[in-house]
Amino acid sequence: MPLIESLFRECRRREVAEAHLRLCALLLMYSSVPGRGVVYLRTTAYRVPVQRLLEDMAGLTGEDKRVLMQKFMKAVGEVVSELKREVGGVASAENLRRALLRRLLEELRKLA
Amino acid sequence: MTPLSPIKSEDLKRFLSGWERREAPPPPGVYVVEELYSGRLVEEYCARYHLIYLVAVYDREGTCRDLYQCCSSPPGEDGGIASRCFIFADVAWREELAEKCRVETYLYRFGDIRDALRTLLEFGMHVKGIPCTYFSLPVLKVTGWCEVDPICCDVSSIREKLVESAAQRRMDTSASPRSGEGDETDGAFGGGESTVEGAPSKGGESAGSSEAGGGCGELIRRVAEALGADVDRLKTCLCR
Repeated sequence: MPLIESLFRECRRREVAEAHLRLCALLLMYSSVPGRGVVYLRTTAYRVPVQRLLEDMAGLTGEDKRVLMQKFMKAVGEVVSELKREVGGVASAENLRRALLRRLLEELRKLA
Repeated sequence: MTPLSPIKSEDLKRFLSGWERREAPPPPGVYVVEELYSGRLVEEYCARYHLIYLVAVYDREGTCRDLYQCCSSPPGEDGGIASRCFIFADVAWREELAEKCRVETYLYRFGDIRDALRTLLEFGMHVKGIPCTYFSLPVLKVTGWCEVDPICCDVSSIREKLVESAAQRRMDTSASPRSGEGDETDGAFGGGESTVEGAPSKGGESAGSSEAGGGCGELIRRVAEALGADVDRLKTCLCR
């Protein structure tokens, strides 16, 4: 979804990521959902995508990255727990995308 | 694992009381959801559940005797409307599904096209939990949903707000260390009242900086004197 992608691009700004951690975590998770198939919901599965996001962020020191990584993984962990309650530990990519999008829209409504 | 979320039967009964039920594939019509399930998931779903189609039939004059047949009539007969039947479903119907899936189609007559679409929208969002962005934009616009929940139609304003809040945050964070004339070396002088040698002096902004007069160099000399330290070594340590 191009609109979601454009929002996710904004999360590459450090200030945006820090100010909207949950939103950025949701956008990252949404962008990581495969097109089809089955997804095993695990927080650690998002470590590499978060690392990539942090690599794209300009002006971060090693310590900044470590701190932000920790914050991101905490936000991701919270979303994963919620999703597990809703769709179970193993979900179809389609259902996971829907569940994530519902949460994303909730977050965006708070901003609107 | 559930391949697709089935509709809860009690929700379905409540919502569809008064709808005409047929064990048949949906008639021709326009799907209101754009992102439909596809592929192997559909087969997995069919192995466990019925495929359900909701068809809202727009019949302003109330002339349709058989709703199903009305949908099958060629479009354009009714005042130039491209379609009079609007379909909500998870899966776009195709012939090969007839062999694999049990199908139920529910039909209802609507005198107002907005009511017809809004009913399908509400079913999708509230009963099925489908995100509003999955619905086609014309449907969201016609039903007035874009005014009710603008996020469903356009997130560009949100993007601007994200950028704005980021800029605000940047200003806030960069402003706070400057209040003490931000440089890491300031703390070493126990008050942060001076600028570092070579950096532009903010003369007059604080009592300290005007007192120092000669800037960092002068301040270092005075501190070195007070401490009995070597000026050059102190400079090397602090003004790197």
